[in-house]
Amino acid sequence: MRVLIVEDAGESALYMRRALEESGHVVDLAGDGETGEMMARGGAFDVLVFDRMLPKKDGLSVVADLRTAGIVTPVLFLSALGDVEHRVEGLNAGGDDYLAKPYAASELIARVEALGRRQEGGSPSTHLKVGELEMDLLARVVRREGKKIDIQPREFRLLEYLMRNANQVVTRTMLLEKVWDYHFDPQTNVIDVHVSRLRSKIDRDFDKPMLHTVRGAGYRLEA
Amino acid sequence: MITKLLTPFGSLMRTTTLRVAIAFAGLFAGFALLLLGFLYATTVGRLGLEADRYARKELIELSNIWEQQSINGLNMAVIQRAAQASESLYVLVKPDGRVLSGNIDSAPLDLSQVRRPDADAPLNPNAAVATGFSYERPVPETGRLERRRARGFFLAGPDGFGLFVARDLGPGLQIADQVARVIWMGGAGVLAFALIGGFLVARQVAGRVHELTMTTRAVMAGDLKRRAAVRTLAPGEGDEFDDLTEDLNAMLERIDRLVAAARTTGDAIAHDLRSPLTRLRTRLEDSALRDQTLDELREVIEDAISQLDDVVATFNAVLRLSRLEAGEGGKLEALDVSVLVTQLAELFEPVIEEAGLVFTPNIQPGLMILADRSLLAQAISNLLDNAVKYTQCGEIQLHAKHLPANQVEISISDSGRGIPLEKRDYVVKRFARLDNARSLPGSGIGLSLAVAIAELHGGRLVLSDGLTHEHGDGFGLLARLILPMMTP
Repeated sequence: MRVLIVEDAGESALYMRRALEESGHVVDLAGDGETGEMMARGGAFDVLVFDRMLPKKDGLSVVADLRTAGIVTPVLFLSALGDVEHRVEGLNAGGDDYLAKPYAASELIARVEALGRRQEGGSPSTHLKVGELEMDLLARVVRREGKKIDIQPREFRLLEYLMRNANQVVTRTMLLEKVWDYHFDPQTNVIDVHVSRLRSKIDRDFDKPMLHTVRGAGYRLEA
Repeated sequence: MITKLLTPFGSLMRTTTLRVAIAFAGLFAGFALLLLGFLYATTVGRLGLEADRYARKELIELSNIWEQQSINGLNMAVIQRAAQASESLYVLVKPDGRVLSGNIDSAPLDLSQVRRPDADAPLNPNAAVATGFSYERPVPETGRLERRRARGFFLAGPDGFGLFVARDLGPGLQIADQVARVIWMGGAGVLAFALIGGFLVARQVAGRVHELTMTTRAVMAGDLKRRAAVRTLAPGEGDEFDDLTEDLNAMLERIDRLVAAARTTGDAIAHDLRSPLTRLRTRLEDSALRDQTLDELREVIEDAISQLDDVVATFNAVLRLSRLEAGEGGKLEALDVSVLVTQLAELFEPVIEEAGLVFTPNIQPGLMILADRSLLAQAISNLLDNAVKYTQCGEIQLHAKHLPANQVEISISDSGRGIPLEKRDYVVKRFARLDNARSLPGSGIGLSLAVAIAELHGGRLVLSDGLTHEHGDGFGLLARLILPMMTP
């Protein structure tokens, strides 16, 4: 995936680049809003990562202008302003996701990859398949190796998100945000319990586990 | 001493009230003068016209006599008329300027300036020169001299004689003068009253403003506890100054609370973040000196990262709390709180059951309130988090129901260790943690946030006894969020 990082704090931009490159992505850097906008207009990026506060032109304006110009490349905003209103501002300006500083590298990578995949996704499908695991979104039925798995509605939404991001790490925060639409940290491990319940349903009666815990990061559903 | 006496007066002079009073008195007096002047001018003008008309009529009569009976006939006529008339004035002047006959001393105009007609020209009353003048005459009853005003015409004859005929402006003018004098004095009286009244009102108002000024000055000087004195009044009796005083006091109350909150936040952040940061630093330093293997180092680093994450989480929670208490953040929209509570029940159900507790949600459908979904979810989630953390065995109940008086109650009750009655005010403070909870994870911000969020929604958080312990030796905690219902 080709990623453009627009961030004026040089050191953290370099860390970001290294983390993303180690996950196999190609990364370009820009240090201010105007350069970032120029490079983004040049195209050929799968994901744009914008800091909100940039020299010369702030991230919100750059992204708003890009969207006006018809450039639809997914944008991830980074910001020290983490509150809900700021998140909403970012999304209204045309951002696709929002990550508050400080963040874990794993969180950044997972979100960048989720955005890049969404781009590839194309038309919304009614049928998802990851290895032998299948989901019929219309009939709301889940099968593994042809065997029907009894699943509750909230587990269905969780599994759907995992399947759409199959073979990629998704973090607990991403699950809380995308599946439940909450933007705060519960102190108890609510998400872990949901995932382990889901795991017990899709993995228990089968030899090969599909739903893996990635230490220090989150979860990954593998074919 | 003198300055002490003068200062209140000087400062009184600067008050708006007194200035307004003076300005109004001035305006009133000016207007009265204008009116008076107009009245006077109209009266005098009218009387003058009357006098002119009468004097001209007589002038024409006399000039006819002059033409027909020559200067001797005119002299006779003037002598006759002067003897009987009281309001008409006559003078017949000889070519040398001396008075031949008449009832006043002289013609009241400079005769040398009057153009003489040609010797052969006929008498022309239309060419007479008009003039207004004043003269003195005795009052019939008292004999005292009285200055009166009159208007008249001077007609110069071709033979060098001149005839002056005038008419007194009459008693009307005296009445007008009288009226004018009354209005003058009345106006002065009104002006004096306006000034004295303005001064008194200004002193009264200045006294009340003075109290407010002294309060704001004291507060500016740093005395945040100072409040303006409030008059004791029956409800609905206060004036705008009482309202202003109350608002000022309420504002000071709020500022005081915010400042106090900011101060405690600063102290508490310093205190509560310093200990984990110190711990972290020691750990890293110790590891740098001692740990050799990669695995050992990696373990320390991962531990450090997770401790830092906790610090950041606490920090964010404190910031959010401060913003909420300062009245920032939060967008209230119509929200079906039943749906939100149901979703949260689903989110927490597995973790509660996993902890070996019975979970009993009981949610009335269709409870509508004005709320910020994200913040309210956070408040309820904080209470559920607490219930899970502090309950070893037994049950957690989550209720949402309609209360009388248009309120909605969301309650979480547990059979956990509870909070002693005397500590319930303490635990809602920032960073407050009971001794037996210090070993558990948490920042001590959760309940303060729940309180702030409840207040943002115009509601409150009430803590009381929850469910009985399994062994029956105490109560858990019942936390109730009571929020105003949306009125359709």
